Amino acid sequence: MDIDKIRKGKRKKGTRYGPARMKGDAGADLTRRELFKHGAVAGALVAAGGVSAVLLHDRDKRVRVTAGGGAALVRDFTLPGTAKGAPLVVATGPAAAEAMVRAAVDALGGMAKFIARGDVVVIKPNIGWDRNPKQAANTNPEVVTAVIKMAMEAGAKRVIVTDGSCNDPFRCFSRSGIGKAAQEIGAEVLLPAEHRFRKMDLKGAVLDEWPVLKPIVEADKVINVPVAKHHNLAGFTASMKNWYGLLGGRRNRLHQNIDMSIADLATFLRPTLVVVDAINVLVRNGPQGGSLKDVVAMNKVAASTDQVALDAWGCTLLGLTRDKLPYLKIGHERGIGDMNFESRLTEIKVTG
Amino acid sequence: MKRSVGFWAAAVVLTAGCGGEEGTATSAPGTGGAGSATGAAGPGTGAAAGGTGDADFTKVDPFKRVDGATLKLEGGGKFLPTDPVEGMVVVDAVRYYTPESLSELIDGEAQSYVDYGVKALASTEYAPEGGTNADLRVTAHVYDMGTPQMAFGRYAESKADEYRYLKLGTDGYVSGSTCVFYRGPWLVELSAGAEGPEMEKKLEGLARAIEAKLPPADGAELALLAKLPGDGRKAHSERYAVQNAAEMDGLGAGFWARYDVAGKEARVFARPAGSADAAKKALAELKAVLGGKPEAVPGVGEEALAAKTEYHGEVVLLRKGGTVAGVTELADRVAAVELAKKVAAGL
Repeated sequence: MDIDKIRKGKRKKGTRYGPARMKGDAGADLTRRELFKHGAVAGALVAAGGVSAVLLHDRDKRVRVTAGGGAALVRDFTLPGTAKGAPLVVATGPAAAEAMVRAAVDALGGMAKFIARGDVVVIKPNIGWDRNPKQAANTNPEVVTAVIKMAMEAGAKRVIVTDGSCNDPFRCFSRSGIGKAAQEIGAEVLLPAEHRFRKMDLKGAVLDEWPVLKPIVEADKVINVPVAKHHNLAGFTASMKNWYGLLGGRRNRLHQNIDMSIADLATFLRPTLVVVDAINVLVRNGPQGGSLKDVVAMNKVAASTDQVALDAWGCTLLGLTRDKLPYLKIGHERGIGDMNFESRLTEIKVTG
Repeated sequence: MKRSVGFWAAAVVLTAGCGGEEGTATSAPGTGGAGSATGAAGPGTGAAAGGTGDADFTKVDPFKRVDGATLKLEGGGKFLPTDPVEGMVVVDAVRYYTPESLSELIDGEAQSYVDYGVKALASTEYAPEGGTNADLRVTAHVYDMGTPQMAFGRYAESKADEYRYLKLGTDGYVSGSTCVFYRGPWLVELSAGAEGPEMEKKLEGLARAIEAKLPPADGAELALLAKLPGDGRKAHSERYAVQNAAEMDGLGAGFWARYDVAGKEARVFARPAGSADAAKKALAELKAVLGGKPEAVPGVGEEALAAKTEYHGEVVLLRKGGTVAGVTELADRVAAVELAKKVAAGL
């Protein structure tokens, strides 16, 4: 399949997802406005309203970011020293998925840098759709199992795989191949049953009280393992949008303000590590696709602790630039990550 | 796939992410809902799998045919075949969705149908009876888009050059594992996990069976497109956008198509304004889209303006009778004006 042909045929300008075009390249002259410090007290953070804020950290990993009259709830799983200026590694095949995942994570320092012996690790793939792996609407199961294995090798006490699916959860977990593959290597696979949610007031710009998947917010470490793909509302999605699967309830109202809700979720959930599956990429008719003619084999896996940077890189796979994705700019301005990733990018060719 | 009682019992307690109110199943209003599907309890469907989670994903149930007489068929559901087609039988209840509940089935993708004014969706599944390969399951969606224009618009948004187009409904295509067509206000989408000639044959057969049940329609919604120049128009590039026609911010709703002009891509759009006065007013409003100081272009329709834009090259906007139209994307003003003259001539 000719990706350039696909790009040309679709909306490269004036998109549904970009109602108001930003002049120039917003990423080119933006710097990360603030960093947030993981620790007993505080750094400065640009919170939901885009104003400076004080960040307080408690022993329960729950961090409140106060911002003027409001405050965004933050669940912070990042490790000290891994957030600021985080490197971004992209491993490119032709190697098998597991080799690419290992190469990317090893280049960041190895899984042991992120996972400690005895940790309860939750892996959050995209298992949103009743689609098979070839259709590339869900995370590739081989990428998921590679991350599971590495977490186990690093000494994780339990490795849990879960997601709040869009379609029938059992079908999604089954058809995606993730349920079976994860169980076969000893991970716990948790369907999004009602008792696994608890209501939390996220205090975001648009997100208020929502049922949130408890296994994720109660974990010791959280690894985000999204799939890079087209999304007809957001343009492109991977890391930040993957947190939609954290929520229960009527998510349709989130899509009415998709950019801000994506940013709110990424503000709330700061993962320990992100591994992006870009092995087969759904390049149009996303998020669920269907036709294999809409899927392009790109053979890439990217890893970082900076979910904004990963998405800024990922959108280039679809011929987009960061200035076309408002949620990236919001995330950048809030200090969730830095969409100017180029100077931190390392590309690795993995052949074995 | 038809699920066992055990599975559906488990499903009832699933919040299911984007599905339903908390604590309810994902069934849609007006249906028997998920709980209406019945079948023998089987392995691997919601049963606990000792210590590794709460479901065993290593086992699957065979597909079981649903008695058509038990199906609730209304709206778009009336067009769903209940007799076997290409060896495929109905294996699920027919579920109905409204614009408000559509996201329970297709999450964020629902908004793109809502934008095109979707009224309702009827959905079910077909599969080879007794089979277990989920990739052979075909999901059938019949959308009521309200008007033929909106059905065409949403249909056209899914098109791609490399799909195989068919004389199916007013227009349709198959693409390996999907088959999509529309007729009148009805938009039909079939999708499977497997692809290839055999699956395309099944999809086309099922699509033809649905087509045979749809009311006739004359495709009059495409009349304005038919007036646009045929020369240079790229095959299957026709679209209808509810906003930002020709993918240009501010152009509003309109039909549009891509053209090849000496190896360069141009876009032509047209929109009925309702009357000559309304067209005059619409063109005046569109001046703002051009930015700067648009120049009058004599000899193109009844009035035309042109300007070089930041993102869309030379843009020519015109009106003729009750229609506003335009040309975008070309770098060369002369070529853009020439194409605009052809557009005006056809209106």
